[in-house]
Amino acid sequence: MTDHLSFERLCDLADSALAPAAEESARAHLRTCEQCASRLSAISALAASTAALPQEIAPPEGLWQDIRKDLEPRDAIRRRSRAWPIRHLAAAAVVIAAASSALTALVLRGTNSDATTRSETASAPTTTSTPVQPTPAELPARLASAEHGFTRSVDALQRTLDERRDSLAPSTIATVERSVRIADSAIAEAREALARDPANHALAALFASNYERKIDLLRRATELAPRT
Amino acid sequence: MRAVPLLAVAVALASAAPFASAHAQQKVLLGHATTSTVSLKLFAAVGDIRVVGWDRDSVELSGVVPTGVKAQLYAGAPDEHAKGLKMFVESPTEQSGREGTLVLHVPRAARVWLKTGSADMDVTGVTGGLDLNVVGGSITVHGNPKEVRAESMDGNVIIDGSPEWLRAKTATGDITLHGGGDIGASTISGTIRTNGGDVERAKLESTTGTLSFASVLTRNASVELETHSGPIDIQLSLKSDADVDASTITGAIDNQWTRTRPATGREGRGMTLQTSSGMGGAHIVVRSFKGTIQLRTSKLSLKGP
Repeated sequence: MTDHLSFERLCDLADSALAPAAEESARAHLRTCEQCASRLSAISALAASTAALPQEIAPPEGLWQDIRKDLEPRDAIRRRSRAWPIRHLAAAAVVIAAASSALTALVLRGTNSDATTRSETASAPTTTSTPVQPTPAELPARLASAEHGFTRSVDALQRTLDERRDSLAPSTIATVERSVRIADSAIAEAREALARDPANHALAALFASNYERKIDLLRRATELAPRT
Repeated sequence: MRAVPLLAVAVALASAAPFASAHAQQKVLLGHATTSTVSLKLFAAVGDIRVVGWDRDSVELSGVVPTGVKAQLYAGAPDEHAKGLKMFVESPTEQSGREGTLVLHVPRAARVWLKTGSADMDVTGVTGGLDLNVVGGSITVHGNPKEVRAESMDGNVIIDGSPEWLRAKTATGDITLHGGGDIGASTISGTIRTNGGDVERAKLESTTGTLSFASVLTRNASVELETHSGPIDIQLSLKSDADVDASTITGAIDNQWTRTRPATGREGRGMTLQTSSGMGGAHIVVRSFKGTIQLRTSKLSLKGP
């Protein structure tokens, strides 16, 4: 327990910022320490998902007030969490969740601003490892951009989950995959409807919520203990 | 990260008489003096685990587990009442991690973080905070902890008290709640129910799972229900001072709570309903893609100030 890699060292490793000798030493540790390997996966997923964020997101008016209201009751649990080793993983999950919330805001803004502007690309980006299939229907550019952000987050988490696949029980994998299929089906259905009615604010919110639930499911699956 | 096992105190692993199980078993007894608000983290690979809040400033983990299972306790300061503890019950095999029973006694105001694989968790008498995570087992919480976070993949979550702050999530498991100050519950395909209790603020959401809301609204309560295709059932008292704003993309709305008829939605698809009862005050927003929304009358009443 005393020789775990520090958070800073894991971040440097994820960024390929370590000297060769230090990197070799760190990777040797990772080969025998599942806890550190798991943290590195989470950090890598976080980096990928943050890279997927849109360059410009103007938060809706009043968003900060809502966030503050949400955060206040969690202060105590957050204080406790800071003291525990899992905090880095939790931080990664929080950022990914925040990213998906920001994307939701982008989706909702998209229904109000350029709903009639069509994307130049015919198909929206989809995950490489999940069964969401591109549909012929086009989304307005801003919605397509937001969906791209969602799918990047999904991809990052899915990769982490794939890396940990052998450490999870088959029944758990089956549950996760079944739920992902359900989420994908709902996303596809909402997406198709949104392509037909891009100015529908309620529909855009449902579309974004489907993605958020899928991302949260994958995030939780990546945090599961080995052989669970 | 620094994780130093400073001291394992009062560890006793003793062989026990043969049990009916296919595996030989052993007793576990770990304990430590703590503060009344100790933060405790327990990772336990075990069949069942019960957490009990008691009126002592100490923590005790006891029970029977398969032979070979290791139980360890780490405390920050061996001679002091610990503010933080970590406990691990680790199993050498997947199968042995699904057997055995543990009872964890904690001070009532403790904050407990508990993670297991397939164990059924049962918590009672804790008034502090709970952070519970299980994959295949169920989570049941009795009493009124201040804060609860409960996550299960395919097990059920039952919270029969009314926490001030509650977040519950499953993939396929059902979630049953009994009110609370600030409730959030999410599932992919499980059912979410609120049965009785008072609700100030709630957000219940599913992808295909049923949402059933039958709690008492406090004045100025804010409730949001959202699903892709699960049916939504809302039971409200005729005496409720509440506004309801419901809409679907393609689903139906059946209003038996007031006399207001739902209208056809955008472009002739789906339905919308704006209705209220009494003076308004509490606000309920319901959104569904294609799940049916039903409002019914219940005998529950709106709670006074």
